[in-house]
Amino acid sequence: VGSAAALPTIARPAQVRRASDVIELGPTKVKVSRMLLGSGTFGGGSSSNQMRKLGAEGLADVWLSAYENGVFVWDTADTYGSHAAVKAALTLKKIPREKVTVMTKTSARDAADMKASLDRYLQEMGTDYIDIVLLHSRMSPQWDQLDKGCMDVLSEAKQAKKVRAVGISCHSVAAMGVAAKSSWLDVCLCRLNYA
Amino acid sequence: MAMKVLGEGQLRDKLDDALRFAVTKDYVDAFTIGVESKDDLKDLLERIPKVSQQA
Repeated sequence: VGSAAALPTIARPAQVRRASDVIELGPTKVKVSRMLLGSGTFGGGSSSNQMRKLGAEGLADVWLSAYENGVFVWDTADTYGSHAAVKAALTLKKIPREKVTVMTKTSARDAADMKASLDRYLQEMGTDYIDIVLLHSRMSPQWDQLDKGCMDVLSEAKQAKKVRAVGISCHSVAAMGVAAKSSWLDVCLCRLNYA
Repeated sequence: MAMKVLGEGQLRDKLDDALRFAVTKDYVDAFTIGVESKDDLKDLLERIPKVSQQA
């Protein structure tokens, strides 16, 4: 009997991964398609290139095509002004709310702002819950202390079923390192590319 | 989840390489891409399975 090291290596083809693959995220099991539909490649000041080019209804039209192809996550942000596209997709395009995952990112910096912002987001989107809310563009390795007020409000919103999962979008490795150890967050969005 | 996989559009001329880098990482559950048209969407839907097999 030969050693395991002597066994021939079986070449296996790489797994096919599709934009429409369904993934369950973390302990909350929120479902996402492998590809999310971003709405702010260049975003800020309640606007983005997608919103400027397409408008809310135009972006919702692209999302409808994606939905018909199994891509069902709308990645919005307050600072992109793209919550209106969620409302357009749900109302004008008649996409069923329970069939999509809606994510937004917040620039709120304290509890009062977070509470008021969350109520506003729900109204802007025309929904009574948001699947994922992320603290937007955090860079500080102290974000978990600086954002305690926002985190508490989002945790309460989870209990009230206004939000299903919480997390942060990290814009620094230091912030990501803290996120990796945090028991508060369910979802972490990180910058990643090969350049 | 990953963002900026196309480097805010700067990697659009190396689209397959950029997509392959993100889609083949086991530690990346999902990734977000800003789509601006149905043509963009169609192209991505076709490219992603192809590049995922070119690890």
